[in-house]
Amino acid sequence: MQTQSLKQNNCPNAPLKGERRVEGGKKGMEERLFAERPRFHFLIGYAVLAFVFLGLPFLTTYDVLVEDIIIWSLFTMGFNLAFGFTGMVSLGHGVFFGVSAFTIGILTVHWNRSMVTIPIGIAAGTLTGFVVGYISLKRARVDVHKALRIAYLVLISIAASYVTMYIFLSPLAKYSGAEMGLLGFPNHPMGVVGDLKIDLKSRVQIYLIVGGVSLIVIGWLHRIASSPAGLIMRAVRENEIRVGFLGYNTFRFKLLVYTLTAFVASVAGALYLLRSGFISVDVFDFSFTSELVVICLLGGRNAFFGPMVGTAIFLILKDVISAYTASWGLFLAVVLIGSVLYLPNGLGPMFFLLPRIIFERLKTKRGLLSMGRNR
Amino acid sequence: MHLLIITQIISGLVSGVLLTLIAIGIALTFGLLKVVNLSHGAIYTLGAYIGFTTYKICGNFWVAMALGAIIAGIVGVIFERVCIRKVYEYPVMGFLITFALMMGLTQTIRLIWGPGNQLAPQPAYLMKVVYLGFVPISSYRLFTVLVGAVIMVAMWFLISKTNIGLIVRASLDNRDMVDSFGINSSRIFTFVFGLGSAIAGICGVLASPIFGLFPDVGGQMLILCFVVVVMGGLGSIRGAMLAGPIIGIVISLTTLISAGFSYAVIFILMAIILLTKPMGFFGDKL
Amino acid sequence: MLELENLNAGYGPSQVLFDLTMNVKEKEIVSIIGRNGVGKTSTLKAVMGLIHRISGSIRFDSAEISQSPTYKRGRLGIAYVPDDRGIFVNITTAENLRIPLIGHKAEKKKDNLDLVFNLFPILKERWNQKAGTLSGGEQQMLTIARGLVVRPKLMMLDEISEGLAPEVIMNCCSAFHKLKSETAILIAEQDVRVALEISDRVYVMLNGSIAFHGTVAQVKEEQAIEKYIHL
Repeated sequence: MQTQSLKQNNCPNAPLKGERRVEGGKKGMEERLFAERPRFHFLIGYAVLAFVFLGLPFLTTYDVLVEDIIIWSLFTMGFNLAFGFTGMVSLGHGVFFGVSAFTIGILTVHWNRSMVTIPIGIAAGTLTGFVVGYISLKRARVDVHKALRIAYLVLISIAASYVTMYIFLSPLAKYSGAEMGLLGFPNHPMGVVGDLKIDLKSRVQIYLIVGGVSLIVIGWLHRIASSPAGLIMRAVRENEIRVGFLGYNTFRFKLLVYTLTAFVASVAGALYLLRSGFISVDVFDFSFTSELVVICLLGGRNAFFGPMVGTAIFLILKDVISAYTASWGLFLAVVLIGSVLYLPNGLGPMFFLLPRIIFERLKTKRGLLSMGRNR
Repeated sequence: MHLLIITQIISGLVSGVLLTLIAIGIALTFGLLKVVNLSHGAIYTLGAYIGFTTYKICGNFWVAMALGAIIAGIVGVIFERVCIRKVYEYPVMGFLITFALMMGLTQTIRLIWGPGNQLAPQPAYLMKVVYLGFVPISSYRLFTVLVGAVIMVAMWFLISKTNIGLIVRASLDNRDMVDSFGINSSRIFTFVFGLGSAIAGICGVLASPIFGLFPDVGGQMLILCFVVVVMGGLGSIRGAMLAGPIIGIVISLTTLISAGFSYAVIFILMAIILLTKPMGFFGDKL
Repeated sequence: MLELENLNAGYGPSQVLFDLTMNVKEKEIVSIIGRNGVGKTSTLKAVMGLIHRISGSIRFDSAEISQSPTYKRGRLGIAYVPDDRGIFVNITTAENLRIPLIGHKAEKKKDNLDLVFNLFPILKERWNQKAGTLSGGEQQMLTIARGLVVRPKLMMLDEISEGLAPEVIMNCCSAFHKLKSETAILIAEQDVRVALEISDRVYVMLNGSIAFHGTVAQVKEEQAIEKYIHL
């Protein structure tokens, strides 16, 4: 999309000031144009993001809220790869989040105080995601009507959430704390390597870890989303049969994306546990995951950073409105209905149009921005 | 011990019949509109609460049932005309908008009637215990099954013997062609949807003493209905009729062990069915 | 009777008909021919209201119908016989034939069925069978019967030659000639010979618009087939 707007603005046939009318020269310039401008765009974006993730929590009294937004942004942006991009409606991600957090929590309390529990927990969550995804997608073959495919996914994910909730409530009650949630997650420093420890009570350390890890994972996800894989995801959502004709094994691809989102959910769960020291079985309930769905819809399913906008709006609104009234849910429902009927692309895209507008203004003021640079 | 099991089976049958009736609404909506209607559970809840309030005011159970059905039907029609028909053939949007409708309705109910449990209305003349052979059964449950059976027979008659039923069956195959023959299929669908909602409303009133009366009761029951619909085949009414009682009995038997356990069993069952025979008992290629 | 003027239509963002102008008068049989994908089926669907109209006018009996919903157009006396037959597979043959009668509120008219039985006697044998169990040819007959059973003013058929034995096609053709005094017929046809055999006038479509139109004789004279259809 950026290359296209470049072409429109560049009038490649007209002689550009100072340009030598040599074929090689023009091509070389175009290459540099395409290479430089996107990077410039991204750098600013990432700088802002890094500031928000790593710096903001320390600068405001609403640090818990900001932390929540960070963790949930990670969760939702990962989830959106499956939901918004690929069109897989799953209500099971709370399960993966919870499995990861519970595994870490239970292992830490009963077994080992070191950080090795974290990868184990994340692996557990991802594995659960793989299994659930496998079961859900296996039957969602392309020859079946689209509505049916989505129905399968939804139903199996709901089933998984109930089964997991049951497992953690009954047989594992002793470990999971049943209805009350995991108790006793220690505030002691968590061992990393040798003598290096993470002080779980230190705000600085926790926030840096949460922000840093989120930033890295989000960056990685963005790379994936912007790559051809991201295009395939969107293609699968539009017309899975055709993608199959192109030679892709859509089942494997969807399973891969699903497992990836389960991984992100597990990471978010781990971060959540580190930050709050607590996890309860409520997260297994599908209403938890349905909040994710609402956020993605609000923020924009098609834009990668859409869910982040949605998360911010959602959590802030929730905080504000809950202070005044108990019917936060009703407000949300109305917003959601309006959103589906009138704003199917969510609020996010409007948000992101803003920098682009500013950018265009800047460009026309300085002449062709890229041309100025190449002098 | 045997007695316990038999009473559980019977009570399971009763719940199963109720589940079937509600599930039929979901099955039909899915078959006709290709939309998974999540708000159906909330409509059930609405009917239940309307019945509750009506009974408190006038003390007549039949009036309560009728009013529950009517208001549920009206709300259903409103939902369909304003929101649901706009998302025909967009499954993801259908899921989302019916989810929002469910949330909105449940929250409204919670606002009006409060979040707690209510005592479900049960007319005194039905609080007797009747004996089928040596098995005791509450006359209320018997009443419920009878009403349910009557409704089911009426539905069967509507679908197989009337013109409207014929149009519905044809629309399940090819809606565009029905339209091109001069039949306003949208109006028929709205009618069917309203009918399904009204039935859910009556079930709400009937079932409150059995399933409970609290704002989230519809949601819980919806999940079970989905299992019924999946087992019977999405879009198939006969399937729902068969699967409903089965699920009801399975639940009532496994609840003897624990509530959570019964849920887990049901869902594992559903997962197995989805994996082995995803079309359910009678579902056709959709 | 039917007039399309500058019709632009398509499927979502993909436009298939471009400024299409054509008409069908009473008592005539008109066919649309052209290569695959040129827009023949889409034209019929547009008349019926089954695809998205971008702009342009559709008039039937001098009344503008382009804004009407499909079911209203059906009631005006337009019958549509689609290329995929559109059979209601899970209901019986009898019930399939009853649906159009319900739509036109003509259930009591038994003589409509006589016409159908004369043309396709085998449908009587399959009367109570589920339509999905009929053979391809029988389904094709059923779908034409469904169109005829309400004595429409205009009947639109899409690719009738597909799936029918040549002898049955000839039966249909002679039947259509007999019917055309009361039912105008518009056919979208892949098989050029059948089209030329049946019709009075022909429209040749290319890339979503009309490339040539005229009587059958004119088509042969100007070699329209060679120009616009043959590769």
